[in-house]
Amino acid sequence: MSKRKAPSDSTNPNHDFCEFLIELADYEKNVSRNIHKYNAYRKAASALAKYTTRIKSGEEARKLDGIGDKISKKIDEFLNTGKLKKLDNIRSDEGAVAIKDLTRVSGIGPAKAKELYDLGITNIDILVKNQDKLNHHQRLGLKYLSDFEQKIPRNEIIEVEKIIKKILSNLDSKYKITICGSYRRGKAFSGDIDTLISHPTFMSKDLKKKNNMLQVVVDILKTNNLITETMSLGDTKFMGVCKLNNISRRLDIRLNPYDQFYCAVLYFTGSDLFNKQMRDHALNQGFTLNEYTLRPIGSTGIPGEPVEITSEEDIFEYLDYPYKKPEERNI
Amino acid sequence: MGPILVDRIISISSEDQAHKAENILHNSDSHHTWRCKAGEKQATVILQLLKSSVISSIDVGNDNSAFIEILVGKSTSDEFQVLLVTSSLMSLHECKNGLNVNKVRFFNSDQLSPACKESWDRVKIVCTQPYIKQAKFGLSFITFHTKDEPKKKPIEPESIQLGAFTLRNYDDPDDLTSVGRLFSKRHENREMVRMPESPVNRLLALHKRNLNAEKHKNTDYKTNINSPSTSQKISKTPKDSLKTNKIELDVKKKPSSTSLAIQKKVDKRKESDLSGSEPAKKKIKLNKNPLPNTKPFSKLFNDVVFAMSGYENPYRGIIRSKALEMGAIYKHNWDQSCTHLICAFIKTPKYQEAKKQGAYRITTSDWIDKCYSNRCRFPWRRFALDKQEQNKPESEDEIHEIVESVPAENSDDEWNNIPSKSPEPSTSQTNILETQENSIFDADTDIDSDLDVPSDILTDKSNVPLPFLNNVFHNYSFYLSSSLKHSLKKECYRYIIALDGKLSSRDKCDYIVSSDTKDLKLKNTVPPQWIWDCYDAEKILPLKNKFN
Repeated sequence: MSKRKAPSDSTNPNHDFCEFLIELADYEKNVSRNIHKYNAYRKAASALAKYTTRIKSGEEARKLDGIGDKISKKIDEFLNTGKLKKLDNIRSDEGAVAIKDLTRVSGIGPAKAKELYDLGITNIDILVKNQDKLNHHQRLGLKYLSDFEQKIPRNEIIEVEKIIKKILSNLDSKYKITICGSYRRGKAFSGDIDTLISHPTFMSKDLKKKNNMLQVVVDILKTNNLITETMSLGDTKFMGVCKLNNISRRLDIRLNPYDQFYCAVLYFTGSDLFNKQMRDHALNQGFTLNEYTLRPIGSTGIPGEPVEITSEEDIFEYLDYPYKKPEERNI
Repeated sequence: MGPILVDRIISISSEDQAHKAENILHNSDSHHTWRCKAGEKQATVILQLLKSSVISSIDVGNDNSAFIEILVGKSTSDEFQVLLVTSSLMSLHECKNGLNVNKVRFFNSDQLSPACKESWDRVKIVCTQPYIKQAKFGLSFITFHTKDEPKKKPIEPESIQLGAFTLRNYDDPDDLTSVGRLFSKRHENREMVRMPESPVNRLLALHKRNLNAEKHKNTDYKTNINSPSTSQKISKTPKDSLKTNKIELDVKKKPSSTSLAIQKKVDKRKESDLSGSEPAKKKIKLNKNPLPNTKPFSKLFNDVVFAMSGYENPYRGIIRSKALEMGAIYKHNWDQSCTHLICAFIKTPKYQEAKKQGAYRITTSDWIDKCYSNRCRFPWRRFALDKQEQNKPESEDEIHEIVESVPAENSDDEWNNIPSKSPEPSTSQTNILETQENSIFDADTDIDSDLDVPSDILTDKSNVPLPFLNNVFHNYSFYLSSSLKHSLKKECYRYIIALDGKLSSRDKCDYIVSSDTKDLKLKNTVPPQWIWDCYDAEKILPLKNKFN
């Protein structure tokens, strides 16, 4: 998951509202660590981002799904004063600022940031001098901080995709490769490159067995000078860095069992709010959906055997949900 | 892998006129299938198996269902557990295109939930088809298989399941002339101590024993049935029995009576010593502490040596310390000295071992728990692990099975020719009530122990035979006024229930029991003393006799 989620671009008429809501959301996630408030602000921001006309009052905003009493009041306050007291407080709060700064680093989450802040590390500069407090992943995150903060243009990911597909099909033509994330949703810029691969010889029943398939894939991408650094590498998940031009990019590669590939593709394509909606819908239809499987729920509430899925459309069809193209999942 | 026979269909959500549910039990003809009516959300059918079985694999023939879920349960309860989680019978593509509507799927034990390790006698099948609107869907057949029983038969759970077959194999048809015969034969074969438990069996066994008393004198656990005194008692009339029961109720108030009981106990032990056969020894071991009807709390379990199996800490520790508090001895592993196994589920290693050694006192932790919380030693059999087995349909062999697992422990019906209307429930009830009432009887009671014999607790009138409660209050209902003190209320309740009375609301009752003088002026109000008087008089006393 990339560091910054931006549901709104600057062309949106309610862009400024979205900005402050996202800022509040990030505060809730990183500092107060209240994921529910985070989700509430995200949902409100997402609703405003979809709204095509400029909001004129909190009352008007309240009609939108996800905006209630508190947020509509904040919108009123913002409309009347041009700022938000709560946000000003947050911005002036030393701890909140420090934690916000530290969490910019890939691999440093709210908990680690808090830990560092408690050790007296209040900004990136101090952090650079205290790298012994960081693990391998975090050190790389710090090393490439400025690179990773730059959005990846769509064309670059297209290039990366071509390269990976070419190399892997030379290795074994049966590999299935999909780059998910906001790239797949058609966004012009992405935060990272989220690649899912699968191979027919690797099924969910083989998960317990040791396999070096991903190791082989990573090695060959390394020898082809695409992957430059490894943050972590397990049997099914690689996290690392790739470099195509001059800028280093975050690259994740996940090896999924062949029979779970489409659930993973759906999940990692997102958006996360879309996924939430989809899972809610699944529950209403008597199914449980996660990144691995779609399972019917039995009469006593116990999830059943995963249903056979041969495409992303299958999942929608099983759930009697109108198919949404990846570009339509930007909520 | 033998198929499990289905006894009958208990219920179905719906069935199509042309596609009846019974069709799924016959897999010979693929055209005869079960389908629900059109427009159903799910189609369910509940089957009763002929006998409780471990289901180790299932074959399902589909008829247009998308999913199937199979649950299992027991006829003793309404609850079902998932045996097979919701599984596909048709893919989405097949549903949409009407392809492969009669696919067959086999599910083996790897695909079944852990419930497949237990035995069940009910099966609930849930089929769904959300993808074809207005579809009639169901199954064409379903068969359940159980694994062939392993040859090592002595282990009890198997003989519980297949007890019928085991017995038939053992006995020549000639030997089946009487049930008592069957018992003794079995004892010889198994070299195990057995207890005929149900009233009917006890009587049959008794009869048998009277015929050849010497021969089987000690093979049975309840050897003392043969002692002259007891057989004499049995011949007594119910009238006599009634008195005994009265005495039993009185026992609590006369602690001195226990000495006599001990005396009797000693006599009986001597008798057992004389007989000297193996089972008798066992019995002596179990009885090494004389069993008076009351014991201090810390000695309630002092003849219990137990091991535990299948319970995890911290619960295990709690149960263990409760038992230790009641005077039991804990053994880490099962060995010969153990008298009871506290076991969570069947077929644990300790369970197997205990069964191999012929031990049968295997209970759940409830036994300890209930005894502890009620401060009363209940008969272990009420909490026997293999309890499920008792509610089986009757057949000669099945009865035999019940003999081992029925928890009917109340000694009354063992000693009296009282049919099912015996006062068992009432007495057990009263025991509980009574023991909670420590303020009245300051010692804890143990009258419920299965090792207890009513004759032991007979008191100054020990020549009187066994307890029998007259149903003096039969068809009468009572209301216990709130003016009664808690302890008094319980005691009244105990007597009313014991005498076959019922409790009801104030305006519907025949008698109001109250200690309030104002109340007592009312027509149908009686003081508690009236109850004791009725009890003593063995009839309903006229109301004018009440004193207030």
